[in-house]
Amino acid sequence: MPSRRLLGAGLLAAVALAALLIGPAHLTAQRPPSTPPAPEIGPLARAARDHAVRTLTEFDYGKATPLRDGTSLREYWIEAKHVEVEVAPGVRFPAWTFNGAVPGPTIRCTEGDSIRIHFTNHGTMPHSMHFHGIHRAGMDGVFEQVVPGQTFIYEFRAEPFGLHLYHCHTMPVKMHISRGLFGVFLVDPKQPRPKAREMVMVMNGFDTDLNGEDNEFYTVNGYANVFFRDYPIPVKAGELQRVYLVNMTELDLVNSMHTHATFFHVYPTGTSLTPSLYTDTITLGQGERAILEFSYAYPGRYLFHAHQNEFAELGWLGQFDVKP
Amino acid sequence: MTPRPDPGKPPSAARVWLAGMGPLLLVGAMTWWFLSSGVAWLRLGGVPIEKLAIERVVFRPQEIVLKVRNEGPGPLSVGQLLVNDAIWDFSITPGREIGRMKGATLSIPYDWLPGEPYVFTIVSGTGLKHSRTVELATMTPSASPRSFLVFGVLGAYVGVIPVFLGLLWLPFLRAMPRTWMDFWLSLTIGLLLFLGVDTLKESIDILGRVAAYWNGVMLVALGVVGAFFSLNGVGRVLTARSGTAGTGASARPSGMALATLIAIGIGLHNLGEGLAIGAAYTLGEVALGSFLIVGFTLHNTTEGLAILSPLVGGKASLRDLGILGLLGGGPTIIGAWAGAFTYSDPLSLVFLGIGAGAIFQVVRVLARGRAEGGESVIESLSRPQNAAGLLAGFIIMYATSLLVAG
Amino acid sequence: MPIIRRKETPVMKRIALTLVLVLALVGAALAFVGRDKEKNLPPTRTVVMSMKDYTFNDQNPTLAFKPGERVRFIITNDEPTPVKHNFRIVGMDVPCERELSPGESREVIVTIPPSGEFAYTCCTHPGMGGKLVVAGR
Repeated sequence: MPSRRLLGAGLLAAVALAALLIGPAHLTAQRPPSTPPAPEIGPLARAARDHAVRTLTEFDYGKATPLRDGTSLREYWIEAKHVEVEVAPGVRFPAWTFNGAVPGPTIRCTEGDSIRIHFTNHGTMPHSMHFHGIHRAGMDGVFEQVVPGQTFIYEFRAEPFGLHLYHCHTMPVKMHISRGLFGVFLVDPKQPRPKAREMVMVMNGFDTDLNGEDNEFYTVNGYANVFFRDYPIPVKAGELQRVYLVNMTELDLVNSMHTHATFFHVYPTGTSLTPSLYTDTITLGQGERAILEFSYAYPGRYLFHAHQNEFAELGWLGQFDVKP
Repeated sequence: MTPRPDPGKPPSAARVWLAGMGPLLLVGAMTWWFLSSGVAWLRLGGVPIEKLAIERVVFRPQEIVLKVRNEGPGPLSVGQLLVNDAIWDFSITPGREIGRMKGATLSIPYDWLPGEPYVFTIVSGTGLKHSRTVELATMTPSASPRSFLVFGVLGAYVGVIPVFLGLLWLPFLRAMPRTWMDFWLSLTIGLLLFLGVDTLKESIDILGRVAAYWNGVMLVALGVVGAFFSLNGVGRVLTARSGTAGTGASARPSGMALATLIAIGIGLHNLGEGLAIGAAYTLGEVALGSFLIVGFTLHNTTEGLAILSPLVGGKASLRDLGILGLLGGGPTIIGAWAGAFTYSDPLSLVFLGIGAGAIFQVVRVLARGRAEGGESVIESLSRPQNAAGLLAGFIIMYATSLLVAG
Repeated sequence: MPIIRRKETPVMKRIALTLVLVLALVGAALAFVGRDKEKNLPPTRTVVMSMKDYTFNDQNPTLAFKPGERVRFIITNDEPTPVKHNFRIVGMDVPCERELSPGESREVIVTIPPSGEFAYTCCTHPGMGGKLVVAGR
């Protein structure tokens, strides 16, 4: 028969324990505010948003040296490095990148230029750069893998003119591309295209749980919904817009782009100066790309997105903010 | 070699406390040292496994509320929410960062459709997905007077009334020859044994979706062991006060005491059953069709029979029968309320364990009562009329259970 | 009750009484600590939410408030065309009430919870809305 005193002590201890567990939670909730609030956007989110917006209009022309035949020698410096990036608000991804972000820099030059790319691998595994273009075997970026710490110099002539791309070609290629090692390679024709407001849009997907089976988010320029929520793209009514659209989506067979309330001329791969299609929805397989030209007549907000709406609802959604 | 205190002098209270608290304090100190000091060499690297459980889904008008809990070993942050594979807006309290074992509530503005399936996926900060599917969206009943009434009536219809109907068999049983008593009591044992196993089987379904953190199997075991031994204790008290046949170790409870015990056991079991009915409706897992209700009704009528069997030989007033019926059927109503308004998987595991333990305890009492002389329980149950009764009980319950299968 | 006889021993009575007392004390303490002190304080901030072109304040801004603040939202429908809108904050007990026609406005006063992020939306137009964050301690 337990002594009553022990029983009382036990009950008291139970009450004290309960108070300890429950009490502080209530007390902290009532603490008065001490720092002024501000809508903060975290550094990763800001970096992702800024990079996506910059990729729209920033081109890397490299360090140009004019050559005697009228073309230029252009030198670029690209490094491969592994960086954690934000791909959708609040969701991080361990990306493998060219120059620290996804997509990599847009390398731009004119047809006939001599291109020299200093590629250094600052990753933890071999990488390479494979260009979609016409070049010699040793510059193809397939058999010549670049080990960590090594630098390789790719040299070739920029040909043919058009909208091309580059990506890592280390096995398994599906994974190296899926992790973010890709970028746009834009070769302008000798006779420049008509003046237009130009934008680069790279479509891709992110397999954030790395199961190799499906993408969790789809983006344009690396950040889900960036042109829908964070930065509706300002457009001047009546001005010619030129979109350099590239599909680098792995794990899904195709991707697409659909513009609301306007139709565009399509230059497949950009290798011709005459458009071959006039439509509002274009589907591209992996590695395919096209130049789209269009304009908006009336001001207002117009969506553009993948017409695979399952991609649109997972981050491939944007809007043009057309102003008069 | 622990020093033994001088047997002539009891140890002082202080020494006793120190002896008890000492090891605890040492463990606490060791843990504190490990966590605070730079024992980095001991900490194994690698990405910790994440586990976010969506414990509860509540459907409100034009809104869905998810109650989630971080059941993984480390903190977790909520990134994006997908409803049927589409990114959707949501509110979250207390915040996106969820500490270990802490919970959060997500409120989603969503025009959901009743009867449609919904898949909720939370993508955490590390990119991992945590999902939960609701097969059938139904408005979650809120505790209003009307819904209390509805679920109360449901519990009464499915639990209380059938038990009372079963009690109406008393005149029939009394008309039977005495030699049939063995058969009826063994039938009861069969009925109850089936019920006990069936209850454990229901807990297995829930174990599947409860996180390992809760240690579901132990929750069930807790219920079983707790109910079994508590009821045993209650049974001893009842036996001591109501008069027995025999004394000491072979004391057997009287008919009324036995019937009360069975009624309590069945009541506890029906608590779990009511919980299952209320929860199934709110979890959107079953359309509570009339077929299901009929099935449960038949199932529970045979429970009334189980309560009756010990009373055949003796006297039972209407008031006594009424109380027994309430004891056996009433808890269904309480279970239905609990299941509809406050469902929680871990708690339901405990209740199911209690239900099973109660049943097994009653089975033990009844089975011991069958044993005559010094024979074992197995031997006594193997006698032809007892074995037949046992089998008949099983078969009846199995047949009625087919009506509630699914 | 046929079997159970009420026979309380002094020890059982004392244990029961002590338990009841302890529970009452704990309950009272919790009720005191968790009481809602903010019920009738006047709002300290006013925020205008203008609904125009299917957006709130032209850019669906992210609003930040301190925990415990009393905020008055003035919701106005400034659409140039006959489009009805609504305003709700999920998780903060601001439900979809009656819709506002162009030119109409209504007022909502809320107490900002201690922490969290909240989504404000128009009930009839999904995608029209933004975030409300509770920042600062």
